[in-house]
Amino acid sequence: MRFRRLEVQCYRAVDRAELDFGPGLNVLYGPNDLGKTTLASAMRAALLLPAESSAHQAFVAWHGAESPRVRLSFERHGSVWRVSKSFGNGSLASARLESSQDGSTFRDEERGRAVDKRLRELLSWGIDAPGGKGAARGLPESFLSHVLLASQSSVSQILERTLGADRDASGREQLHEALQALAQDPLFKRVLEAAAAKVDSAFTPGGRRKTGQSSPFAPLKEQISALTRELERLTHQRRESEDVAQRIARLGEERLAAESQLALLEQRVACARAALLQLESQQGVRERYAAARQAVLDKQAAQHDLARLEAELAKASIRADALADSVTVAAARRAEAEAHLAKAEAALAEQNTDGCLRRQAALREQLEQEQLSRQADHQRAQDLLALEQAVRAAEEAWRAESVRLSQAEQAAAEQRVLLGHADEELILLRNLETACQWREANQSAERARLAQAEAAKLAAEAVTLRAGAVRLRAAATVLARVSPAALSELRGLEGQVRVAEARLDVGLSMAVKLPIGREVALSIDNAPDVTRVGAGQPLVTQARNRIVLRLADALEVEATAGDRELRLELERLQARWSREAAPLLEAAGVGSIDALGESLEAERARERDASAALRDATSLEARAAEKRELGAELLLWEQRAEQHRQALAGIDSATLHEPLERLGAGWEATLRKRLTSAEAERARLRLALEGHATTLVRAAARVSGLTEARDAARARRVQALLDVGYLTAVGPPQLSELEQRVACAERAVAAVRAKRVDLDQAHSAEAAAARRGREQASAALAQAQREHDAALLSSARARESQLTLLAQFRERKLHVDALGLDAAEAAFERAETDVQSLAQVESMTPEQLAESEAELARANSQLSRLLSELRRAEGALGHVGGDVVLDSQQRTLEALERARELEIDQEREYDAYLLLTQTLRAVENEQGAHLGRALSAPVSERFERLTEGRYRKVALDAGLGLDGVLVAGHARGFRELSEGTQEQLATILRLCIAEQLQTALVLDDHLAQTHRQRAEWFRGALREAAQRIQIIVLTARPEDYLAPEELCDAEPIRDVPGASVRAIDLERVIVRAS
Amino acid sequence: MDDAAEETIDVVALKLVHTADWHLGMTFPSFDGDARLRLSRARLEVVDRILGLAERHSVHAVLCAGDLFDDPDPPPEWWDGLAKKLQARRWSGRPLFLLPGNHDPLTTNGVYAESHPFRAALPSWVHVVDRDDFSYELDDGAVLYAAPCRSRSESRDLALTLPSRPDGDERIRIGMVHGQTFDLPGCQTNFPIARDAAAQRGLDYLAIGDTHSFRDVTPESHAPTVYPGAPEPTHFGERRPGHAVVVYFPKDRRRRALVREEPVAQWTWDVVSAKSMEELRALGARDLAQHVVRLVLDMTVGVAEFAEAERILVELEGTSAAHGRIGVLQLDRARLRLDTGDLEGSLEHAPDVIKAAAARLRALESQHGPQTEQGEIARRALYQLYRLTREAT
Repeated sequence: MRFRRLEVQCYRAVDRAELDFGPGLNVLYGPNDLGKTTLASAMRAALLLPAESSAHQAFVAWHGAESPRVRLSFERHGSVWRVSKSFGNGSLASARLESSQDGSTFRDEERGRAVDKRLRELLSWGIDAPGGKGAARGLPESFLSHVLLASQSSVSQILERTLGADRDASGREQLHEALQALAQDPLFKRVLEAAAAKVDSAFTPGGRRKTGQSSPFAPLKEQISALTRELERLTHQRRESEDVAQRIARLGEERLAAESQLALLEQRVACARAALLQLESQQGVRERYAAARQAVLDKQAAQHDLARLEAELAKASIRADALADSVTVAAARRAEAEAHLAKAEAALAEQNTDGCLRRQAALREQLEQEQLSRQADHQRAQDLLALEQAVRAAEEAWRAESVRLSQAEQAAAEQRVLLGHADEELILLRNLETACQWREANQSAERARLAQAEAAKLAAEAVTLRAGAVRLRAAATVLARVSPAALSELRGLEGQVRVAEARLDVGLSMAVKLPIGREVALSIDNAPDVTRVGAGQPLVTQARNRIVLRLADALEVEATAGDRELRLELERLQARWSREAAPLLEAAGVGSIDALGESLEAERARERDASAALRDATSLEARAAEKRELGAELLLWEQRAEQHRQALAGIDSATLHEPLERLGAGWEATLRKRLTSAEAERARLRLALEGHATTLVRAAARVSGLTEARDAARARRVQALLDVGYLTAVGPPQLSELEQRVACAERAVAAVRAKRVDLDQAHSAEAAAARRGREQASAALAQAQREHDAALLSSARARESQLTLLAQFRERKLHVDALGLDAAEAAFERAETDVQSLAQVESMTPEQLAESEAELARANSQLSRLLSELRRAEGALGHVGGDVVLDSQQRTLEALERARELEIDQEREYDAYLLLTQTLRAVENEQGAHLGRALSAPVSERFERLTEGRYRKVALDAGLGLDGVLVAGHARGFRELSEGTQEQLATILRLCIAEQLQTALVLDDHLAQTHRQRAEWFRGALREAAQRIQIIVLTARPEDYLAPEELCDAEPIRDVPGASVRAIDLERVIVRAS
Repeated sequence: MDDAAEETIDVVALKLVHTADWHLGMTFPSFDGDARLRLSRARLEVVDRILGLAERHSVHAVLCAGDLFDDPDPPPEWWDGLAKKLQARRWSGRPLFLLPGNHDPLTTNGVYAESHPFRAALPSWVHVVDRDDFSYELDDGAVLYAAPCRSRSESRDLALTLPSRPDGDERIRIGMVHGQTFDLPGCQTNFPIARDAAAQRGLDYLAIGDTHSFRDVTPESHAPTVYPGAPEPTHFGERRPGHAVVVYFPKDRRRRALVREEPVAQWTWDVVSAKSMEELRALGARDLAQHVVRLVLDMTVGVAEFAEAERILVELEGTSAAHGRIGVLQLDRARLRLDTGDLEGSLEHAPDVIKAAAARLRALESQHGPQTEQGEIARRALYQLYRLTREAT
């Protein structure tokens, strides 16, 4: 910190003052009572005193009613800050804090009460925020406020003050931070550095883990990230693979079903084709049979015709003999023939009438219908049989799968029971754990309550002791600062004065005459006296060494005895007596050094008592702090106990009582072990249950599928039975019944087919007979006609015709013989046998065959599609992975788990280093033992130089309190030093602390008791230190710090070139109130 | 080979080396960089020992039954490395057969493709099974039938695609395919092999690959169906890996072929559990230079013992300056528990601030409990304080 500018108005005796500080040594000089200390007070008030504090009354202007106002600018943390305060009561008080980056443009930071809180944070001098509980009234104080900004009257108190009295840790922390490098134990330092190096490599200053490339976590993070990505890719690939595998399985099943269907259809088509071929083949046999039959008939007709011709020949012979008288007979025969013909034609006509044809067609149709009906019955019977078989197969499969499902369910149920037991056990154990934690939290809370009570008690005792010490100290006078050595020195001084006085005691006589009588003031050997001198009468006065005669304001005559050197020596000794001894004697109210010694002894006894009381108070406060620390955990334990109690809410505590009793001490390890075991058992059971569940789901799915298949088969069977009206009250028919029914249906179909054949044959035979009758009648008529004609027309040629007939007969007979009637009859018999031997063939039409073939083509197409899809799926599976991706996934998963384990281990390791570093620093900060060690070296070094080796080592305690000084190998308390040496030591200490903190130091007439020689040393030391820090000296003796040529002349401020020194003549800066 | 074996195969008609699952190019992501490289490199180095085995036993042929590469298109250093090792052998009359497996299937652009430079780099006595009807007449009246994997996964049984023994064929018939011999329903997508495939196809020996452990699948059958296992282990927990198989075919065809495992692995993979300091010390005394060890530390140790344990572990694992006693060490410290009960005694002469820090860490450990993460961190911090103090003293 560095001060830049101070403006003061209406502050005590100062009406107005404005001054700018230089960066180095600022020597603010002026005579006593000018207001130097007022300026220092104004700086303290600006920085430390709330504007509305009642303590401002001490600053109220001596003249006038305006509020005291101070504005102070300073640099801190790289910014320029400006605090302005107007002190007063209530609304008259105001405060404002501004900041600036360039020192000229300011912006508001805080106003009002917030200003002081912010200021104290900025300064970090160990002063807590204003308004807190127990905060001191008036100007707050701390170790650093004393060190850096002590008032003139409290300079020597610096050696008594320590950091332990600070209400806020910021001062200690600031010093700790500044002195850290100097302070630490070498071993501790090495440990801390090693741990901190680890922490720095892994954590940001904010305590977060580093994430950049240089972070030790980065390689594992990257590895985990890469492995996670790879695992996701492989998992996706595996899912794809499993999907494809499932698709393949499904397609495989569909392919099997399609192939089965295809085989069935192929068989059906083959059967249809065979039936059609067979039917075609039977048609040829039948045609051959008809041809053979026709041939036999033709031959029989020719033979018959030959016989008739032979008979005609015989008749012609006879008739030729009796032709003349047989015309009548021929006519009668012709008429008979005509009648026959008419009858035959009538019969044939009867055959061809519509009614007859319709009857035949109806009969045929009836038979065809019957055959179709029988065939349908047969088909239904076959379907029923097939359905029954399918139902039975489905039921069998369903029963088997149901048994498996039942077994799986039983196993799962058992597993669930076990899991339930494991859950209950786990819950019990967790409840027990919570109950133990609750009990422990309650116990801890009780301990914390006791600690709080004890802390309060101890604190009260400490307050009492400290108050006693304060009272004792308050009773102490300035004499407390007088060490035995100083007393001894004063005794020496007293002796020297007496010796010097005795050396001047040579006797002195003075005679005075006055023209007029007047009163004369005399001082004879410093004893005052007043006497009246008569006009012209001589006044003779005698003394040992000094006579002073004062005549009102007209004349003062002093006569001293002895030579000049002796007088000067006495003056010097007296001056020193006045400076060193007289104030002490006055303060003690005694008249001699011996009496002063007695007073001093009493003072020291009081001081010892006060110190002892303070030590005891400090000890009690430390114990109270420890207890408070314990007590501070009360809320935590209560919260924990409440959390545990809440967690146990609703649980029957009776169930926990006995197990809790059994657990006893060491419950945590026992419970942890049992919990681990129970969790492992539960995880194992859950895993097993999940396995069972998977099995169950699969089995249930299979059962469901089989149930659907069974129900579908049953439904089809019921429908089929309903269709055939075969459903009975007693349930579905037996398989044997259905088989018998199929056989019956087959037989019925065969019987109808036979009837149809018989009917066809009967119709054919009747038609042939009718045709034959008509032909025969027609032939007979023609013959009769011819015979009649011949008888009528050619009786004369009868003999000639007889010969012609004979020739014809012979020719016909040769022809008939050539025809081979026996062979034709044999062929007819064979064809007839063939026809009779023809098998019964199911009826089949080309349309039916085409339909079956179309169905077969569709099934083929379906199978091709399935195979194609299967090949594609297999190809996809071959591409996406199968076991290869499983292997890779497993390897990657293991690597990922391994990397995560390592990451956790690494994080814990670095967390441990972080915790270690934080703990080391916290403990070090709290103990603070090193602070004294750290500062002791530079203070000792300067003190030794100042005293030219007379004093060696200055020991400082943890709170930077002065433990003692090493003199001639023995430790001495600082009170044994002279007052001047104490103030010099205090100044050195302050200088060293300011240097370590790199902050400004205000020295207000700090070397009042210091000899010129040592003051000279300080001038050098301060100028040297001012190269590094700002020092503001308020003094009435500028020559102690400035050479004559460095004093201000024309201007109130003078910067000494090249010396980082600014001289400020306060007489020209301060405007005092008139 | 022992005397009984010699007697058993007194008259040998044919000798083969059967190997598989080299997995050249396999990576080991669970291991650190250096170990990862060493284990990967070992996969190619073992090929020399397999070829040496074939030479020592003067076998007639070498069958490599698939998954020779870990990927169908491995980086050049792998196929080039293998080609160079094969080129280094001046064999004649001893064919070597490379069979594509499901990890390195025969694909259009894969390493076994006719156009791949790997094929051009192979000596003439190396044959790639690149046809579905592959057959090769070996000397001494023997014939090899093989079928390659053409994809990563397939439901076809490649063994059943091999031709059946024709009537009157008295030759030694050897089959070689890659796949799995289990017939689990629903798991038949990865080249299933029927257990009786050898018998169905009239084979005298069916050389298969895929499983990384040695296994005679059909010990009861006249025709052995054998997995030789991976010549170098790939994973902890593999049973009997690290072998190649030498197969002796007797001239008496009624006798079963004799199958002998021959160790070829450089590395032995072990999972070792140390439950006490004694066991850990004993481990330090063992020669494990050629072992890949997953060391599971399952014990509780005091700080002094912990320091000793750390020292032993450093000796086992090695440093940047020295090899460790264990070839490759994978540490599992999850169950290594530190008992810091004796720590204060060790810090007796330490500065007060260190003692105070130790006391605070101890309190933190107690407050959180030893089983919690915070307790664990406090305990570790306590140990590090002890270690750093000891090092700094």
